[in-house]
Amino acid sequence: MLHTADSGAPDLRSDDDRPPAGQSPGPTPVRGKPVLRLYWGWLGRSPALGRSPVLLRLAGGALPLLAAGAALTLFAAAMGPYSIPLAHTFDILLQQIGLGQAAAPETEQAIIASIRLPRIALALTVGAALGVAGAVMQGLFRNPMADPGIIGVSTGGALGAVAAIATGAQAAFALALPAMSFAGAAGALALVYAVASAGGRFSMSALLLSGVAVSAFIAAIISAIILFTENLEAQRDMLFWLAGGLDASRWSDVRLSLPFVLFGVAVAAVMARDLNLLMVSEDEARALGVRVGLTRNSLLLAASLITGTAVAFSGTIAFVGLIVPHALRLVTGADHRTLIPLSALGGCVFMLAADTLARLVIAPAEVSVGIITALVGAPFFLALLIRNKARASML
Amino acid sequence: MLNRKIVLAAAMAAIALLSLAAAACGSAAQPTVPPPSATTAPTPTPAPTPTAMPAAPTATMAVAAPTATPRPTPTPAPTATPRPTPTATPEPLIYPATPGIVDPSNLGWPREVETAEGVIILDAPPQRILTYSLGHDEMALALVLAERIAALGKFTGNPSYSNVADLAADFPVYEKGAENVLAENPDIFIVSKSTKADIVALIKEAGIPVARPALEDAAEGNISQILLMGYLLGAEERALELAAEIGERMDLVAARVPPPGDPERPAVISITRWSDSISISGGGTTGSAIIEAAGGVNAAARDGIDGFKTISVESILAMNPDFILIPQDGEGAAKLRDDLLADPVLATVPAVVNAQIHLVHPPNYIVLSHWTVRGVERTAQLLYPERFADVTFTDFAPYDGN
Repeated sequence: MLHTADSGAPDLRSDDDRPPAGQSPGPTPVRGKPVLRLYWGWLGRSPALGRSPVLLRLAGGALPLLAAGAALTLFAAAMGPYSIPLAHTFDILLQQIGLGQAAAPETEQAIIASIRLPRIALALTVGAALGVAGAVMQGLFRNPMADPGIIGVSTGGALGAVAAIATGAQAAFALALPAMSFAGAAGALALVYAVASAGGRFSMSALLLSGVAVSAFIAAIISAIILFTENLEAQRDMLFWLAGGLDASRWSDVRLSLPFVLFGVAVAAVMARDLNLLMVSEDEARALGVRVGLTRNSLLLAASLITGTAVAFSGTIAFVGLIVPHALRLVTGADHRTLIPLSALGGCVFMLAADTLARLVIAPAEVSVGIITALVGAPFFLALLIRNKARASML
Repeated sequence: MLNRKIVLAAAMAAIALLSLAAAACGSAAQPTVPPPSATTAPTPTPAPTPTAMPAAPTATMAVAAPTATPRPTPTPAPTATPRPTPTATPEPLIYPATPGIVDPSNLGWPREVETAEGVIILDAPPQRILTYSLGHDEMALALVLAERIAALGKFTGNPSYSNVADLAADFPVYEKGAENVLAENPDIFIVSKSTKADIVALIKEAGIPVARPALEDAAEGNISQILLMGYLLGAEERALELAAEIGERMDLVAARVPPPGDPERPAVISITRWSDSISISGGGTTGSAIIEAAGGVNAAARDGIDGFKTISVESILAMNPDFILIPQDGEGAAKLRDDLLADPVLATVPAVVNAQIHLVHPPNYIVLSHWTVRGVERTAQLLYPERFADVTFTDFAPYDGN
């Protein structure tokens, strides 16, 4: 079995995307931290996992993420400004999944069932969406610095939400804000894509540049709407929405967002192998039978769909889509067959951790979850830059 | 001779400014130089010797002690707006020592005022007053005749924000921006602590004296700032009168509510909701000061929240308030109240059980001016209706020269 140099995880160049025989550099010695070597070795002894390096990497990455997610979910359900005994939390959670009848007071049941659990569920949904969108964008652009908002989808979603508030549609129709936010995200993608495809030739670099330009253009429109809105109540609504956050999550938000996110994640996961090939080069991918245009467009649409959904229900939350896939890539490798599902899980864990911290750090008040993700994400991003620069200077 | 020189200088500056305005193709309004009644001084200068006492021969109030916040003796009268009785014999006016007034014994002109923008020397009472904040607009309207106010800011005419929106309808409105300020040709420009430094610098460069009195998040209506504004605008007597009225109103409330620390004081929170996010007034906010002055305990401050913070419904349950105030306008406020009343999580909260969730007039709770006293009065009436059953509180009257 091959292993990545840093982590001891199985090398991504295995199975069918491994370089042809004769070109392989040969087995890499198992390096990395002893604990990680022990972990991967233990997993590799499983007969089912030992036969498939992809499954092995997936399981190896998913197990700790699932464990962390479960622990965080329990912690987030138990903690809050209103003190609820841990035993009651257990009872209520078991009751929520249909196991037993909780004896906890009704108030405690209402807090967990109506406030904490929908918020946890929405944090998981939004985190999965942003994590996968980041992995897809980084793969499509072959750039680890790419972000779900890089092609203007996030600002397009924000424009839709601001327009919903400014026109009063939000007050007239409960779903107007998420619907218009999603429409804004789709509109931004369509505009950016049209510019990148102008003249009959599509170019990823043109997509990137037009995304930057369209983002700036939309941001200016948002500023103008806020500035010229005569309704000061609406103006405040817009500013608070733009700050982002999950503080008013409801089960209805989860029910509306989850299907879109699941669909987008599924599309990305199904096309993960083709994305691997696209990363090498479009010509090689085409030679290997990949329908390049269809794959690229489907992935762009899927990433935009889930980014727009996340923005519609949580506002613009930065850095999740940037750091989650990148951190996972360092541990489990760049194979999108494992990276995409693991980014979904990693996004869940990261977002839930950030939101729980946002809820508790100055309880009974809260800070915006975007502040937490930026406080973690910005230093990570800078460290990434420094590391890449150092590597480049060594080559 | 001096006047001729000043007029000449003013004319030259006006020509220069007009040229600049034409070159920039900017506002149609023509900025002119400030009148020669005021000059700016970058550094403090010795106070000039007073040359004259206030012009008004019938001083309506004599303040014995030179304290910063004169508080008249509480009156047992059940009305909220007792006016000081004019005394028959004019007494010399003694102005209290107030932060920012370089020499309170100098009640003549020129006079010096020191704020965060340094010392300014005013040669005569300003006649074209312009402020850059709603709180200062409200104070100016209470201190001087309307004809001395050059224009009001846009927010001053908005009833969702302003306590004096009805008065503002009769005033010209100016938009923010240095050029618009200059177009109003003010002889004093009063800014808040949040006004951008570059705006202030541009106005100063045009030769207009700028003062930056620092309004505070206080329930007592910023008495020291009212005294400073009164001195700055040459409205000392009116400032003292207003300060006395504020003191009387506050004392009336304080005499009827339980003292601080009394367990009888109910727990109160003040919240708003924008785009589904609930914001609460923690310690150090005007809302908190109003709650405390009205005989309540700000449960948010009690539980460690400072400033304006976002909270969840769960936090409201944890604070368990007896009263919830919503200083917010529009449909959103009524919907917030209905949502709180219907929320099963809050079913045991006293404010919900007893339907003590009140929409209150936002300007009373958010504008830093003497109108916060009306917030105190309104809140005290909500918290202790039986103790104020015999009182009819009235709004502050604008200054009409009497």
